[in-house]
Amino acid sequence: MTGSERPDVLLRVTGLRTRLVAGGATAYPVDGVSFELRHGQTLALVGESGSGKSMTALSLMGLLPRGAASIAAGRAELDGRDLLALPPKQMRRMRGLEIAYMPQDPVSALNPSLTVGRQVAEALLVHRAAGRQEALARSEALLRRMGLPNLPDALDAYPHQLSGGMRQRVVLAMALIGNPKVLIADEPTTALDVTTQEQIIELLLDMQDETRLGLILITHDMGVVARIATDVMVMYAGRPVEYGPVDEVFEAPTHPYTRGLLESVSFEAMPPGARLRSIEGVPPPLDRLPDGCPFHPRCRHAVAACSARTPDLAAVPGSTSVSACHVARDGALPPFALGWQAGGPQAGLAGEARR
Amino acid sequence: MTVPAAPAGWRHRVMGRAVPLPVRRNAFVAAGGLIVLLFAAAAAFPRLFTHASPTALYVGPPLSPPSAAHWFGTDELGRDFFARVVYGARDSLVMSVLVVAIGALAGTAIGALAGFRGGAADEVLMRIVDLFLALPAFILALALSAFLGRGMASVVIALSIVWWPGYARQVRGMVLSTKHRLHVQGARALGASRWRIVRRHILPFTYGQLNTRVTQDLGFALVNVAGLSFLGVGAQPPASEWGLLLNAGRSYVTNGWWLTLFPGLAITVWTLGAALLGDGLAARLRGESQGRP
Repeated sequence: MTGSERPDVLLRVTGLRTRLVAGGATAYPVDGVSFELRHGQTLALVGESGSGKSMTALSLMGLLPRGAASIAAGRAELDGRDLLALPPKQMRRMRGLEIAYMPQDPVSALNPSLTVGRQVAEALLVHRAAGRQEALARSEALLRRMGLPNLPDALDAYPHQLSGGMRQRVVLAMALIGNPKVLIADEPTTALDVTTQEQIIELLLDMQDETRLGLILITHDMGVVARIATDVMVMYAGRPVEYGPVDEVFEAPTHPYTRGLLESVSFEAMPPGARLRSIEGVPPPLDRLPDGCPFHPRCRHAVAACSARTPDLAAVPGSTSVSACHVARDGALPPFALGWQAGGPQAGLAGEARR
Repeated sequence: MTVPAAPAGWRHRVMGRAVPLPVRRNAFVAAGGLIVLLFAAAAAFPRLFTHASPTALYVGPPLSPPSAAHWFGTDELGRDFFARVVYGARDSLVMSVLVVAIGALAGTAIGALAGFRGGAADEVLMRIVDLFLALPAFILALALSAFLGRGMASVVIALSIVWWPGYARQVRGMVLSTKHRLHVQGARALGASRWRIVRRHILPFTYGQLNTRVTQDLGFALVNVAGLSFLGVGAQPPASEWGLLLNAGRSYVTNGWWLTLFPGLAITVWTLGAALLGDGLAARLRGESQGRP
């Protein structure tokens, strides 16, 4: 994973740390995030609300709220350029064309006063990448490709006339029209019903196959992660706690928090009567993190070292993923068993192997 | 999953689709629109309404009451008073349209800047707005135009200076409530510049309310324009601006009532027309926002 110099790394983030100052208190909602994203790969960022997923996305996009939040450290190299060090004007030119962001809620993500066609064309018009006619033609072609019904009439529709699934398609089209190399999708399926979710996931996978897009997926839906991600990074209180290939992380999670997450969601393969387990307690406030591992007060496996030193991501014996856990590093975590296990969560979650 | 076909001619309209209004209300709006159009036509093409000259002396006996030859009578110098009122429309309307246009544009720009930038810029600009709103606008405009010297330009400048703060305050509020919407964030994520975000993704949400306000303001602005001219700082003779006509007619209230009645009526009817039209737009806007998801 880390350290290997494969040539086709698209986005390499190292040591990203974001500072948030509010009401005199300083917190680090993103602390020590590092990962590599290759062409056609999908990295899922998972974790509870407030774990730093969205802040990571905003940091990479250069969209942190001005005055309150800023990058404290780190690099994010896209094609050899450090996004975090670019002057605002140059970063603005990257957005939409090199790195795109797909906001969560398709209802409010669309400008109610612009027609669908015009809205999708916006990224091209913003960067003067195409004239008005060409931009509209390309927006129609993309929407057609994405299966929006009733074209070309739908181009003249306003967002409130569309269903949730169609709006999400439009939002995705807005993000993709500039042919970005990296797409950050923030909870792309959360607001949708299950059937529509499935369609959007299919669409994302199709578009990714076509464009070899590097996708960063922010979600807390483990099913979606298993379905489309190649790698997963689990975050807790702004820190990455486990990072590895999705099969590895789901089959043999090496961090107690990852295990807790997996035990708390249901899978298809779950036998009737099986019970879900919740993680006791709530995440700590970011400006008052406990000493040591931020997860140790909620951790069933915590030992003395956990409250003394903050663990960094490190290799775990017998696993290819890295984990920020003293216990796992010592090989002292018990083997992972969901209790009802029938081939592991992968079997139930994915249904089919990805690609 | 069907898209209702967009009705023909249905483009970037913030006002959106038509909502049926009660017939009576529609009639009022139509009346308001007709008045505004008629007056605008008089201002643009006074010859359509009268062949008489507004400045030719002794075309009729001085101070003759309204008659078939001189619909609004004649003034103390025998000038055709109908022609004077019609030609006066241009001065009055052009001045009030300018005041509203400058006020609305400057106010919108300043309000948008304050609301979008926030922080110190917002603080400073809004305190300036407070300062203006705390002073009686008309008195301030009177003092300003007296200071700038007589003439129509000074009236326009003075009134514009007191006119923008109301717009700035209103636009700032609307920008504040719009700028945190997710689609604005989305536009930033597409790499839109701040100028484009404000223009395309924030300001369109203010146009509906601004349309209403601008329309109604056309009436109020004219009252102020005429008021300043009446007090002698605005249009100067031989112009026939309505406030000026009123002032000149004051001396003849007992023996030439038409010299004050008709300019006064013109001011009243124009203000009424603008108010009715603005009211109709406001009602329609309310119907709109109720009909929207």
